[in-house]
Amino acid sequence: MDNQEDKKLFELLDHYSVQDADQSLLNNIIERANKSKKVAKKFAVNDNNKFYYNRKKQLLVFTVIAVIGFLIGSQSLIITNNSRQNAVNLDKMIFGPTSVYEVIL
Amino acid sequence: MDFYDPDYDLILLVGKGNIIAYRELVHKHLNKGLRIAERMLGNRSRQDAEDIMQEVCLKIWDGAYKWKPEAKFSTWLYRVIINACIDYNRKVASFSDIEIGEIIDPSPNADEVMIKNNIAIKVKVALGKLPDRQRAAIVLSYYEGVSNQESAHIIGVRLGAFQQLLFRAKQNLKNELKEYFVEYKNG
Repeated sequence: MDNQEDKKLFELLDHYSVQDADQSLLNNIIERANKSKKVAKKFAVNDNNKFYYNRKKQLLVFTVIAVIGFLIGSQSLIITNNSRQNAVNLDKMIFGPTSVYEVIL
Repeated sequence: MDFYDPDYDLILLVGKGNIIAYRELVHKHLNKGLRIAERMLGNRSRQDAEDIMQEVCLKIWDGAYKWKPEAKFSTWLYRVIINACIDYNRKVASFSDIEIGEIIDPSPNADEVMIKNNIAIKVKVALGKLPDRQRAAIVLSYYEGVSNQESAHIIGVRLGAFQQLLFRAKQNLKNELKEYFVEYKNG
């Protein structure tokens, strides 16, 4: 009985049909996408392998930038406060015979 | 990604701003999406369903660059459409307040057309009276032929719960359309 009732129900449901989309709707959607201001943002990144989503890579790059910045900043501070020789001596003490200061300049 | 998604390559291209890929992706899903939206909106106008589809498609375009393949694209799309329709119905008004649209059947016989339209309108109203998730269950499972497993995923319930939803939806529809089931009740 349930199967017959289900069959009848599906017959009734079949009466309610809806029309497919017409071409103008598709055109409107494409037009709106073309006007969207966020398009440029999309070109930056995409899948999971790329830089945008790779947090580890981001962290590594920012750490390297921060370390280089610190080194340059500390060198400038030493030069400002003392003589060039003091800076080189301090470098050699910290980094060994090859001074970072000498390499950079 | 442990499932095959036929739209994966397209959505990646869309994420890179490829308008041709976007057009293809929209074209591929537009009819099905629109049918789901129109039936989920019940008695509201076709124009409302088209507006919702436009908004959803714009979301795809604007958000494709951050797409993560946690589910099939179509699963995600149908979920977004259904949720947008539910939100829209809640915002605007209850189903009972709105007009019944005309359903045109291209059949040549006038009487037959009238009877068919009458049934179609009653089905439309009955469908509109169902709770949102039950309506979604009928639309996905019966009208769009989506598998129970995927339908459950789209609605956000377990398979068992989805089967219950579907069962209750059918019971409610039979109650709403009981004039057509008299023979079964008496027999």
